[in-house]
Amino acid sequence: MDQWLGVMVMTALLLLLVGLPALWIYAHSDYVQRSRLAPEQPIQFSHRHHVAEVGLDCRYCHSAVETGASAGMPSSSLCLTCHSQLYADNDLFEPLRRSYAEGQPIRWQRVYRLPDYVYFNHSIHVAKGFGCVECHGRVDQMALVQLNQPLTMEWCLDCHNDPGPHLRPQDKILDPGWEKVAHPELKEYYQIRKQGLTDCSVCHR
Amino acid sequence: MLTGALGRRTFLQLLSGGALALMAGCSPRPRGELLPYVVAPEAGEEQQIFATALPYLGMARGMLVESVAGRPIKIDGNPSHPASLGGSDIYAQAALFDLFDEKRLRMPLRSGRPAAFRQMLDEVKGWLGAGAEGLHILTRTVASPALQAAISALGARWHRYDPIWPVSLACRRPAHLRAPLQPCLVAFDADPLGMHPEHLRLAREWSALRPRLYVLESTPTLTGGRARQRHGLPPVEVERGLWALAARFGMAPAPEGEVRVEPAWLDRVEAELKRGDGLLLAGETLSPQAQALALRLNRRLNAPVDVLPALDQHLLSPNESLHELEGALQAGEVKVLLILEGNPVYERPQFANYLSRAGLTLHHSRVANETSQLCHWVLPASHELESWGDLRAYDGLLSLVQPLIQPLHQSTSGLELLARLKGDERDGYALIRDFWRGRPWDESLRRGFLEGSHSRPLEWSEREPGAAPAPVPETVLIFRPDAGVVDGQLAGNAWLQECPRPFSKLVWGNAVQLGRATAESLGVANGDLLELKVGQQSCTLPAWVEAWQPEGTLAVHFGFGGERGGYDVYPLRAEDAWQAAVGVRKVEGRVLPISTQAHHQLDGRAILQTEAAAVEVDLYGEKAPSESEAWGMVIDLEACIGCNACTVACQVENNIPTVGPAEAARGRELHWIRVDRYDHGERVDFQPVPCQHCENAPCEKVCPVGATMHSHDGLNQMVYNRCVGTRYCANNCPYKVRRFNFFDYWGRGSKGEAPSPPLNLGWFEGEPKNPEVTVRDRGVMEKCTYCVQRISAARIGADKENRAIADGEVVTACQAACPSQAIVFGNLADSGSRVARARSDRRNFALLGELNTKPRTTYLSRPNEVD
Repeated sequence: MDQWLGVMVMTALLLLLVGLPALWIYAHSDYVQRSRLAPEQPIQFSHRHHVAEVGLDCRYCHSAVETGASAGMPSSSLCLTCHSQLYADNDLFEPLRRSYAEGQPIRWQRVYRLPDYVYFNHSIHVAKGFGCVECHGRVDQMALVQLNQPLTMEWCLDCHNDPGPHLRPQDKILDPGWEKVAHPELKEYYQIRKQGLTDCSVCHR
Repeated sequence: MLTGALGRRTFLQLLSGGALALMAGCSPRPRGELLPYVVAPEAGEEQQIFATALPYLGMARGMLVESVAGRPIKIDGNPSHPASLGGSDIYAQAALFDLFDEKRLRMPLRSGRPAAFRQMLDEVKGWLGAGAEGLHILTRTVASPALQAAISALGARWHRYDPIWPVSLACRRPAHLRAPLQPCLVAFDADPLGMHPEHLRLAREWSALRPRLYVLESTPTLTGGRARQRHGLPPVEVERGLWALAARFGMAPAPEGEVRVEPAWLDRVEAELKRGDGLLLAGETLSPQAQALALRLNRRLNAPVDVLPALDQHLLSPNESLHELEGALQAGEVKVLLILEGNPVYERPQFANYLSRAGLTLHHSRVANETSQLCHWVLPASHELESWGDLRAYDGLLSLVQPLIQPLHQSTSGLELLARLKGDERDGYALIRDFWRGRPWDESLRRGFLEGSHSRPLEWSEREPGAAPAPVPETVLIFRPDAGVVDGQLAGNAWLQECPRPFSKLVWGNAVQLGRATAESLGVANGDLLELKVGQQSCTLPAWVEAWQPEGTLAVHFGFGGERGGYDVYPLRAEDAWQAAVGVRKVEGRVLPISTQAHHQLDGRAILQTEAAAVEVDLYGEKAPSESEAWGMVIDLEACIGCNACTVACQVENNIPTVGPAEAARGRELHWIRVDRYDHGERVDFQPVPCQHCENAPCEKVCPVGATMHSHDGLNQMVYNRCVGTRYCANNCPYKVRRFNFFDYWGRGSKGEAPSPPLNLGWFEGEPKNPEVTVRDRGVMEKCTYCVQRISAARIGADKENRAIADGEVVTACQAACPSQAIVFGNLADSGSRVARARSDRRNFALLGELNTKPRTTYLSRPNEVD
């Protein structure tokens, strides 16, 4: 019996030493965090094609990014501005045509999702020199959009504690290819608040 | 398996099983869907504001409705509308509940079964043929010119009735008496700050003027609560007091016999009126003779009273018209009876006997009620927020009603229904445009009303006041509309049901109010049952002792009974009387009404300060965490009229659920701002108490998980996602302003077990809440946030433009709603801001300031009135 007790104690210790860190790593893994994972979408929409190859401005589809909390998703009718002419007969666009004909929205799978008690505002981040790439990564290189960042509170606070290194000049905010160089004067330029960026109520209300 | 020694295999089995169970708990991040518009609306998902009008006592008040992504989410007063001037009340705030009420009728019903609208039209045609002979329409007061025209165009016999009928009978014709408030006001059973169609304008005027107010009244009213000298007397003695006053001006014979009004009160009022800036207000519950006398006296005093035509001028008496209908029903002349809105069977129970004699009865109503049960057809009515129409305000100002959302159910507006009966298939928009042809449409729609359309004052002829009424020896029963559900039409509205009534603080029901001495003589305490007998009718209600109820009188409120909760007192009312002689008897049994008066008590600390010189409070102390922003609030207790508009506005803005009667009885209501009542004999004080946002917050010290923290700009933040529900903070809060979600009151069914019995608070899935505020789950503490979502919105707006937040840019929901502008909010660090100036007033005091909590919310005391 003593032998089994020893085995049990050893296993328990092993669990503590190996299991818990393993669990921690698992919980923060790409798999659980869904980062670098691209979910199946109803339409195989390629940002790479639209941004890098066609050269669309981000704001053509995400038109509220400078004014609203949400950046805005393009309506079906907006897609049809071009796709009523281009590849209009392609089977790929069947869900789009059906959506418009039936008046039902396209059901995109969310890639970026914040909990209900977090209030994120796109417009203020864009206005204060924060580029799209900081959170969304090089969407101009993604065939299917994938989660690029962990979206944990720790990750948000990294910038809120010290926004300086993440800022970019005003004309580079939408530019995915801009090579980041330090611009110490930008913090002054954007008049970023010195106090209160890490108050709970900035994001939680 | 576990018996005996634990074998190696068993151990490994258990281990792997446990590990798997552990893994199953770590499910990956949940996914959601993104559903963009098919065709995006012009405004996208941004907030939009529309001007419209909502009725109170049948008449329009201009409102601004906030709409987000096509859904109305908040209603506030329209500052440019003369009947609201930007203020609002509990009824306007709570109107959204009625729109999304899950008890609303979904489709037309024929004998209780779903049926097609067209079938109803065919059936009506079958009864009437081509003409309109035999078609009768019963409405309430109709203040919509378009609807009036549509009814007239139908060629039907039109009958009206109204249980509450705010029309003055001071002249030979029904009229609305309207006067700007004067520096001295004498009110006789009048309640300009409460039950008055224009109470929003009056409250704002009152707040700007702070008149010297003297009141004689037979039930406690908000107006009485603000009086310098207020006396409670039985209704007939109030009238005799008016005669006694008039006699001093030589306008009427002195009343015979003893007058119960104190001579000192009369002396004071006489002296005040002789200063030449007085106005008498006579309530519509007084006899026509008394109203006429008050009007005469006003004319003598040169008070600027306008006599405006009543909005429904054909209505000589609310009963005459109904008696006509009853006669026609009795004679079998009525082939088709259409009842537009209202609930006559509930409000006049005897009407039910006549209703069955009509060939076909149709009821147009938002919810099924007593009347619809007796009608062949029930037709769902659209809410004001989903229909086009127009509505006149008390002064006749023509206001536009515009929809904020497509009808949620298969409903029609009254205008549309009448058009369909005429064979007109056009929608409400086409109908109102047609009716408004020749009037400026775009401008009126944007503004919410048609400029200059108010009624012109009439030349008027007086009624003879005659002699004073003789005193009444019996106990008198006084009927009044309830301050929450009014005549019962709003009884399905949980926000109004759970809003504590200003004086009794009763929620979810009514009781018979009686004075202390009367209660003693009957040997009853709160909750003891009393049988009231008026004529042949009797009714049993629990007693509620109300210090301000005049002795020798009892007061009951309409609007309850059956599913509404409380007790129905309409059967006791004969015709349209406001009082009746009553026999009272104590009967066996006790039912304690639910009152919030004793909830959230401050351990007997005397906290309200009324003296002009308040205690010195070290306001800014050593703690000045922000040089740019320090949010603070000042509430002027002299201006506060105790109307609860702030409480309901906060509830709507901050997604605060109602908890239902059972939970409210346990003191678990969740209002973030409560209005405390203090009694000092013939003076009553109201004090709204939200979170005080203490700089030295006792709640923060005891939270084990840091769920309540201080922000740099002085907010006492509540972080719901950290809260584990220990409730230590609520215990340690000296102001008792923290509220706990004992259950999943929103009924989202995610984690919380359903309360028993189910609360069924009237919302259905997908109801709009404020998208800017977290919906709290079970087991979480919550409290006033100073509307942090509005601060955030203003800060983001200002930061984008690289400027400071301007004074007045952040308006909290309670501040926006307050009809008397008692609440000021802003930045204390800006010495020029309104709130900083208010705070430097010598009346400023901090609640329990001696505890050194350094509250950011302070109060301006209501001075003891001395001349």
